[in-house]
Amino acid sequence: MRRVKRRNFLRGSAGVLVTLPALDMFRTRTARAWTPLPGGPKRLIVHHHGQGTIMHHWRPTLDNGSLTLPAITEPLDGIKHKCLFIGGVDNKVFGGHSSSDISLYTCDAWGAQPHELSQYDPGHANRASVDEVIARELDDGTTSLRRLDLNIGTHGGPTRHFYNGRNDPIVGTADPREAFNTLFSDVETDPAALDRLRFHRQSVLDTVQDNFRRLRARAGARDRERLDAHAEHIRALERRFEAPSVACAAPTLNLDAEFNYRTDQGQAAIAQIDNLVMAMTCGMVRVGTLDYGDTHGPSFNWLTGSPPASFPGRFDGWHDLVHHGNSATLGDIDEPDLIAGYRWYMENLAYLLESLDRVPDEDGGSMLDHTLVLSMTEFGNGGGHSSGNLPVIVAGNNGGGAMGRFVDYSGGVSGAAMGQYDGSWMHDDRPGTHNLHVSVLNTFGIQTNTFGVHNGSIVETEEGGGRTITWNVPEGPMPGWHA
Amino acid sequence: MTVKVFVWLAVAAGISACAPGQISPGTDLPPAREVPGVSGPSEANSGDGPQVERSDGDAEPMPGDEEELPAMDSQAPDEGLADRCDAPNPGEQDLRRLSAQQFAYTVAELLPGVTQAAPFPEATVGIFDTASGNNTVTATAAFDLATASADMAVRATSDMPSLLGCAPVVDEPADGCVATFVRSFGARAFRRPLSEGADGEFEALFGLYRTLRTQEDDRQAVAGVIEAVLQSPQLLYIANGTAEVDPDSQVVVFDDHTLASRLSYFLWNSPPDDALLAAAAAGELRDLDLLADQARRMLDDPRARQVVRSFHRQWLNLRPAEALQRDPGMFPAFGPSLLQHLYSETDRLVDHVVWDANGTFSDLMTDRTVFANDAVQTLYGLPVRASGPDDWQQESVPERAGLLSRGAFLANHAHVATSSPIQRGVFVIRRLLCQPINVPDNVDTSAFEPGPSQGSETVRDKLAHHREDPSCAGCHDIIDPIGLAFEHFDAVGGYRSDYDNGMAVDATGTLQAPAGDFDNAAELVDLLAADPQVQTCYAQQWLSYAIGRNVGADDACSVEALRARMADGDLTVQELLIEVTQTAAFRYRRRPELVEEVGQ
Repeated sequence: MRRVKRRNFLRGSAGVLVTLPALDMFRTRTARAWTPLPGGPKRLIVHHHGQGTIMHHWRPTLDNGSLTLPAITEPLDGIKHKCLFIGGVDNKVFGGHSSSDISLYTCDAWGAQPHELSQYDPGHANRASVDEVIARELDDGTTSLRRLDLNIGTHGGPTRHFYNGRNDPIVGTADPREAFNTLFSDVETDPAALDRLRFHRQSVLDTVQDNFRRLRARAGARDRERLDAHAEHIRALERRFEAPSVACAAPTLNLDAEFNYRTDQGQAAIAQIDNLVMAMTCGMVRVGTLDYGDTHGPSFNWLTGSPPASFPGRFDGWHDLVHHGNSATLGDIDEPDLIAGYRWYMENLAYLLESLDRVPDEDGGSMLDHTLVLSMTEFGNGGGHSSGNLPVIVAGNNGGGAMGRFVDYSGGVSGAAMGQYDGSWMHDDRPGTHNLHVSVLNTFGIQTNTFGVHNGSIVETEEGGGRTITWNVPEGPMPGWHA
Repeated sequence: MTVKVFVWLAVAAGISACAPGQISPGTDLPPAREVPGVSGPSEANSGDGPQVERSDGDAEPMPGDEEELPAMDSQAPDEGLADRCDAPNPGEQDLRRLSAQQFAYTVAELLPGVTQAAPFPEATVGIFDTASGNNTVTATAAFDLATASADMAVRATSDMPSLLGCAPVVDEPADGCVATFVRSFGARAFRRPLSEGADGEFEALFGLYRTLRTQEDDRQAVAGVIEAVLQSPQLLYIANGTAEVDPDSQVVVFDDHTLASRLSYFLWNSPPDDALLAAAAAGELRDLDLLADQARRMLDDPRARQVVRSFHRQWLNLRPAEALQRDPGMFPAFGPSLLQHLYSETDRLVDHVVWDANGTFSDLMTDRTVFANDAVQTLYGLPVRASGPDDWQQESVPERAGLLSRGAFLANHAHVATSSPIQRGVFVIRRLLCQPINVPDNVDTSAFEPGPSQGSETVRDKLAHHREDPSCAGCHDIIDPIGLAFEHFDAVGGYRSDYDNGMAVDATGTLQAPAGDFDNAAELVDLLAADPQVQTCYAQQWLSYAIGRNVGADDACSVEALRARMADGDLTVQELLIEVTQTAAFRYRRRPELVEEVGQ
């Protein structure tokens, strides 16, 4: 029933889809082997949701050569032949849950230094995240945006997943209307007026850059870093205003009048996915992120006609449900609403993939066929808040390896064998997120064998006593990625 | 039942006892460092205590949750501190960007009548919006600022004659109508005269006008100048002073115009007015007494009231009203509108104590005056005498002692359905005692949060259970009893004698130092408000707010100066703000190079 509701909404916002081919989005496909187009992906989308998953409702099973998807991943059934499901990857950076956000895409620890933030404020990550490394690689100056970062729901600050660099969080746009206006405001401006506007903006920004240079000359080294980072964004604006206007018709966004992007996350998700797909369709950007900014508070009251039954009565909100509504706590039962919440994220992923797959690409195939979509979450098991055995989905173009598979690095251990929480405590012999990200980087033609603090081992100091833990993990890309 | 709070106040006792044996990563932390005035490296600095990271146990993360102030020493400063503090001894100061609020007020003063087109977004790092950790300007912010500046400039130039006060001629000279505007607008925006000469700011801005004039009309070209000024770093960042170094102390002495900006953005969140700029031009602000005179003058301005309100809202973690959700079945009246009334009530208490009564920090903590409209009277269980939302009535309510017994604070430290003794206890320890509480990486704190009471069990019982686990007890023996003192207040700040399950609320406890038993929150805050360390902690946070950065070990002299003034007794909040402007941390900055050398 939920899918019908989503379809109705899409029809309501037909304007957004005006330039997208009107194909039947409900076509079902039989699962079949599918091999991405050669040449590698030319776009990257990272889809991140919070609070992990329940692995035994996520893990696909192989049945007569076809993947069967359980409750949480089931929404991907129509597009699973273009998905690669990966289990058993650990986030090796400290492994603790309070650093799991900043380390997931950076494979590095906190970047805070006492003189910059506070001796007790961990602050932000220590380096650029993998998406940013790829954004720089793909950037040839021809798109008006280097990257597009959209949030669904917000807690008011950066999500702490994506980073320009050390202590430099990428702040996504949480209001889809704001994102839409920002993206498409220049569409349909008359050419003469646009020329005058470009001259004006260019001259203004030149002067602003000039003022940066003046202030910089008198600034200390660290202040210069800040000014340079800011000035770099001004340069990006100059380029953006120089770029030819987008070669697509002006879309429209249609949201309820009383739409609240903080609370109406059901609508926000669809609108933000539309924004991203539209921007990519119009050739405005090659790297995008979709990140759910409200990991503790979503009510999920958009899932059904009424608020889910299990909270707030028995559980004190989504976060409490994540912790105490799973079988590790309750025994054999996982709360249906907990599964429904996790499933919603996969419904959105399916909507994203299907939307990308409906748009023809100028190089043949669909946009999805030329895009690497990486879907992750910071925990393996949400209830355990543990960062091992992460559920990872790679979709679209992974550089040529066969899709429609489940690659499991968890060692085959089941939830029962591993105790509570689906074996989501880390294992020395599993690959890490750095291996995964090296694979992703290689797929984009970035030749590297390492990413983050990884050089085959991660050193932790315990209680100042200097105990060293060496993670026995392989260096380099993940085995079997291109198999 | 009485629970003793065993460890209290003293850094050494308090923090080492918290979370014994808990593991922390360690590599993120600075090495232990000799802190002036502290007899040895504090436990909190040494890296083997638990660290404040993210308290995931908070069902709703709080802004500022992740930045805490350095631990202070509770003991008297050592004898050597006074000598060290004879010379200016400040910490480092990073260049800091205007906060969203400061930018809005700046635009409002530069372009009267022009509403700001879009809010200036900022990353939330730390307790206060003035923090230099908020310095980053993201790509989104740069774009928003560019488009908003263009929009505002167009509206600002809708009436050119009154904007310029003169009529531009065809080929404007460098001392004509437009040039005069550029000089005066630029000086107000950059808070000092524009530099002039070969590579001067004036030449750049006037040159922009001339360039634009080749293809655009006067209005568009002047608008372009305004647009460029609004995006220039000289406006967006609070100056860090010229590189003038005091030859004796080797610190950077802020010049008069820099001091004027620091003063006005501290006390007003706004740029300096003409009188302050004149004082700067006359070289008066480096004189301590004249600086204090200016501060005193500025406190009489309504803009100072806004700052004092804003400080306390942030200090109390009051989040945007729409960000808080409560179980509608349990709290049908609760929503953004009620919460706004509660915020207004807190604002009114702050106004009352700080301005009307010229009161002290202690008064803020203990004053029973309630300003309530109909909604607040209803929530507080008072006789509803107010005629509506705009009818604010003043009365004294015994159980509403000071800021921490008000709905605004209490609702922001609670869960969807239940109060949160843990969030409330953590607040007291962090924000009133300036002590870090650290969530070790490998402990899942969210499991600690008790859900709604079931059967005859109370929250106190549930918390007692989790303290049976030694790994929990280390910290929660300290946190829980403090937070339980507020148990008479539910998840939205309503008062209760009994829980929904009929069990009576027990809010009693014992503090060791300052020694005393308390029966409820009002008695707890009495103990806290009188404590010198709590008072110094409050002063330290004002200093942090004023200088836009964390107050660290390098600022020991400044903190000590404030501590001494607070210890004299009866220092009003207004006087405290003036004292803050007199500190080394406000007037100087350490040269970064020196710190780096020390660190090597």
